Amino acid sequence: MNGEPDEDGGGRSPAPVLEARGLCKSFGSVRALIDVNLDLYPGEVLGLMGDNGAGKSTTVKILAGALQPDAGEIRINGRPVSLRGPIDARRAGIETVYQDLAVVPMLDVAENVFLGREVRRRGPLGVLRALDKRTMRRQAAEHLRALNVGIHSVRQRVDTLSGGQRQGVAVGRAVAFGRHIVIMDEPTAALGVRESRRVIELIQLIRRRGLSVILISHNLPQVLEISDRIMVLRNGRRVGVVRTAETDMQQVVRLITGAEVLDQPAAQGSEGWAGGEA
Amino acid sequence: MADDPVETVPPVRRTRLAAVRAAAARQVMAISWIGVLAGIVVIGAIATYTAPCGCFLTGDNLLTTAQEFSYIAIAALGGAMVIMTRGIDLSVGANMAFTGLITATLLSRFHLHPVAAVAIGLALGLGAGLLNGLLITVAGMQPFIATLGTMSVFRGLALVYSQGFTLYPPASFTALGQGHLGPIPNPFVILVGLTVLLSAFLSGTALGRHVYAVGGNEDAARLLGIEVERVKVFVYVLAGLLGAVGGILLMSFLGSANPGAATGYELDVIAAAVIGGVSLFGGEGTLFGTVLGAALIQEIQNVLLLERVPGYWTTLVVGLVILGAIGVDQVRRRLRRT
Ligand SMILES: Nc1ncnc2c1ncn2[C@@H]1O[C@H](COP(=O)(O)OP(=O)(O)OP(=O)(O)O)[C@@H](O)[C@H]1O
Ligand SMILES: [Mg+2]
Repeated sequence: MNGEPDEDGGGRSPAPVLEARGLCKSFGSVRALIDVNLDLYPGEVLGLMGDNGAGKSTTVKILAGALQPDAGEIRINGRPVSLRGPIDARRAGIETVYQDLAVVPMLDVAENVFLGREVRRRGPLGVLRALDKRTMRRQAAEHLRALNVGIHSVRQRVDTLSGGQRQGVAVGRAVAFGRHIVIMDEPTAALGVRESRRVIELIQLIRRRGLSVILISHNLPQVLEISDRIMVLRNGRRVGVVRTAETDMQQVVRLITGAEVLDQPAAQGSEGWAGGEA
Repeated sequence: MADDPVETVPPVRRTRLAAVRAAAARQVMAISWIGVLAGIVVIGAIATYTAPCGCFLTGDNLLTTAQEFSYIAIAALGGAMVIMTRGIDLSVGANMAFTGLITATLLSRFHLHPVAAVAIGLALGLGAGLLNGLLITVAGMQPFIATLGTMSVFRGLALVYSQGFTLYPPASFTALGQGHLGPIPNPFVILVGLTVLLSAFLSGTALGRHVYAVGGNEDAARLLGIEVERVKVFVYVLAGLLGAVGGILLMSFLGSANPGAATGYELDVIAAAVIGGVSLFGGEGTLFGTVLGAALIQEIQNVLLLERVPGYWTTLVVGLVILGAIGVDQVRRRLRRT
């Protein structure tokens, strides 16, 4: 067997919080993902790297329930799950910071944090039940204060915020509700130096809280700095997973550009489940 | 952009108070209907002193004006919510004619009880809205195209059904649109009630906030698990229902049901929303602003009439106001970006 823990996760807890096996996804004739396996261990930061169009965002959207894979299986804490929509993924404890942030500019900070899972007052009116705005504002303020992202008022409209503050709202939402996993798709791509720093600190804070993070980034030094392992995709295939402590920039660049391939396509498909049955 | 590292470290640290004050200023600017309200007051003040009859600021004139703009304003409540989701409903004028006509027919030809006739008329409006919503979500048509089609279909149904003739409904029906609650015309009372109710819905319920979310960033709404298609169907259904309310009240007030009634009202509805601060780009605006927008259009028509300006000018002036409102919207959006 070519099990992952022996290969590159040795010394860790043997039970991954998230396992994906044989993920495939095509858009028409474009094969965005081909037989991709992914393991994520408790409390680790997994860097997901690859060139433009390698399939990173597609992987993320599948794990976030926003896209349905053509084939493949996902397990969370050993249990198979089917993520038919974003709500399913959230219920499973996966929160996502999307590449384009997924904030609504015209709504205020608290509304954005709670969008799609609003707190409502009790009552018989079903969908017409009144919102409990006070509770939502208080909780949103608490979460954002804990993250220290520099947002003064949760009543501020998001389109009046700076890029870094908007990022703070998106990250704050993920951290506030994530129970197992937070996925971040290029969270620093649009940010300046100082604001990127802040996001890195946030990721470390999330890890300290015991959550696992999948970080997608084109910023190699940044990924080398904060990740525990790095997984590289190329043209929709996984070309390798390396432990950050045992690699260097040159090797990762070789993987990204295709100059080196660690995973054998034939072996990937036969890879077994890493964790024991729950 | 604010992402510029130089900009993120200002030389003078803004105090918290200054930041709060700036946010407050932005909030005031964000109230899209303040300009419309100012316009209504200024035009009213000018008309009060310059109208040759000296009759602008009389109860009679104001109440008649309120009566006359209520039908369009009621329909505009629905139209505004559609535009908030970044859609458009061109079929509402035809819907008003169709539902009003059928309701009148049920009364005058089939002698139904007024309550039953109105209920059927409202149900037809709801069905018309449902058709729009399904064409846009399930069939995936552009809102403009889908409602352009249903506009002709609804108008055609009204023409076919009436054979082009005008119907005269009984007094039991005209009492609804011509009646008063105290001195206030019934349609205006209904308008105020619906505006309060629907505004509370928009600001106070999850579904109401989702209307803004779908128009503001549809992809985000979908990624966050909001059932975007359902929200859209909902606003078109509501628009159809409110169109029927406006149509039935209009026919009832006129005392005649004519298949050509309410022609072009769909554009007045859109104008009211846009003047009132509802952005055609979606996600923005209030129902209160929309009602003010409809009121401003009616006031301009009224004042031009009192000032003895030939009626042809009205269309021109309203057109300029619409262009002004769109300009203001664009400036506002640009200011927010920075
Ligand atoms: N909705 C879609 N329809 C068609 N093709 C798509 C769609 N989404 C992704 N693709 C294609 O799938 C491939 C993988 O895209 P993906 O967005 O996952 O790449 P990525 O690794 O996130 O790239 P980037 O670094 O540019 O964000 C690309 O060829 C892309 O064009
Ligand atoms: Mg991407």
